[in-house]
Amino acid sequence: MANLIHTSKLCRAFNGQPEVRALDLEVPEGAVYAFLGPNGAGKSTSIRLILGLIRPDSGTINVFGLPLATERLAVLRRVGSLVEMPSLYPHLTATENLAIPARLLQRRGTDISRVLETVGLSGVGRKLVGNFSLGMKQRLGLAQALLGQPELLVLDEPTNGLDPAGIHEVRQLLKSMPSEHGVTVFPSSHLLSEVEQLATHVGILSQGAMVFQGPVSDLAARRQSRLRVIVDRSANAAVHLNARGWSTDRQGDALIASATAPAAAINRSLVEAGFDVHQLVHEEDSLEQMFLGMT
Amino acid sequence: MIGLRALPAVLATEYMKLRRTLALRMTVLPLVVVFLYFLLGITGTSSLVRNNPDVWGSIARNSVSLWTMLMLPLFITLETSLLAGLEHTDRNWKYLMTMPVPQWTVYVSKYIVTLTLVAVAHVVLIAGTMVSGVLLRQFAPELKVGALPMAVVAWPVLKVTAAVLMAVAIQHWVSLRWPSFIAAMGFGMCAMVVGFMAVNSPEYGPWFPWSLTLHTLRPLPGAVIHPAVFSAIAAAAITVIGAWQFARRDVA
Repeated sequence: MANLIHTSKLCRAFNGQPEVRALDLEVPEGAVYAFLGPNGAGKSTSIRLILGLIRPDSGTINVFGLPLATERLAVLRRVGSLVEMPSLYPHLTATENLAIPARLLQRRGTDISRVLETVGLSGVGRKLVGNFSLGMKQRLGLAQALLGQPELLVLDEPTNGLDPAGIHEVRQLLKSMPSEHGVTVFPSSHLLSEVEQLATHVGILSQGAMVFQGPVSDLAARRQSRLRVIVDRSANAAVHLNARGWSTDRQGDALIASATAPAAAINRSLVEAGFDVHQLVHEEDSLEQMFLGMT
Repeated sequence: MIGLRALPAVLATEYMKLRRTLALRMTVLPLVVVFLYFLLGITGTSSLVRNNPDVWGSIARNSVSLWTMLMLPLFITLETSLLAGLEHTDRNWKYLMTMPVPQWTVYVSKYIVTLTLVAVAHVVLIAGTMVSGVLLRQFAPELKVGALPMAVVAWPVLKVTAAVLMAVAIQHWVSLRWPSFIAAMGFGMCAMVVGFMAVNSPEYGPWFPWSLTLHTLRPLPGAVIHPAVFSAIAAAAITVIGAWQFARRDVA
């Protein structure tokens, strides 16, 4: 799979404070690449660099194999974007708001109807955007991004302001983009849980630097697992197990052993020694825990 | 779309944004001046109309002067600030600047839209003054309002329109450069006051952008450059530099 977005040693600072540090981003074609990191990690700055809204201090950006520095217009013609909150004119209707980018993207009125229907706003095309709820504005922002039938969707926190049903709809929409429309999707979020159900690839940013990048399966493979034993008199139980060569850490009433420790043998040993074993379970880090650990 | 070829489309979108805006509604502002002088005429209380052999000429000249001196500087300050505010509000720049059009076309289009609004306001001023004259002739025959002297109104307004180009170009740059409406308004007010003070100065009157319109109506002796021509040339240079800088700045 070729990389649709490729950045190399990308750096950008504001007032001497580095916001993005030596970022090597590789977004494969046809992927849903979740760009993750806590607030202030540099996601929005990276996205603004990729869209040409700001210029890098150093490093290069290639999109569709084209250098952004010299081919900005050719790149933007094939990109749909939503950066932070949607950019809308409250004194215009939804249709009038879309007619503006439609004119610049050389799109027809039917395209406006199409995207309004896609985001579930076809019934409110004539309503002034100033009267829209936050969720409706977010949907209209997505409609703007989809208007030019882009090959790449760059979306900064696309589910901001949406209710749970809206979040679900947007997730389904983004998930279907690669298979149904051949669109590569690059959404950012500060919550892994928001995107883990739809992402094929993940990039995790912390303090402006990439700490993990790759397929979700690679991230999942890094999960750490352990054996958790909940037992009465846990301090004595720990001494008992350690004496038999099974190293454990105590966390309250629970004993944590290596994932490779023999669960059945540990259970038998504890029961035979008179301990009451309440629970014995193999645990695995959730992706969210891994994400939090990395950032 | 590359360069100039994108300009008509960008310009069209800027006109589309004017719908339902205060900026568009404000183009009828010259009617305030027209109405004021109509009232003076119809009531016959002012020396402007009492025992004046050229009532119509006096009303026309005074309408243009009042508009140019007092209201036009406010008008261009408000128009540029309101138009820039369309993009500063909700930080709309960040979407507009991801459109596949050269960034300079956005800057130039917004300047052209502001000039269009000034031109519309001036058409309203000319038309309103003409209608006012017709009504005075009809309803106040004792004033002996003569034939409508188009040239007395239209020619000075045309010169003022050209002379204001430079001030609009500067105010346009300020309004787009800083997102604060207050900053843009403050700048415009200060420039207007300085313009009043500079207008009688033989050194600065013919050059200061906010004095040029007044200077067009009452030229100082010894001015070597026609204010309207100077303003137009300077406005073109300022717009080119402004557009160049606009295309290179970060979009927050």
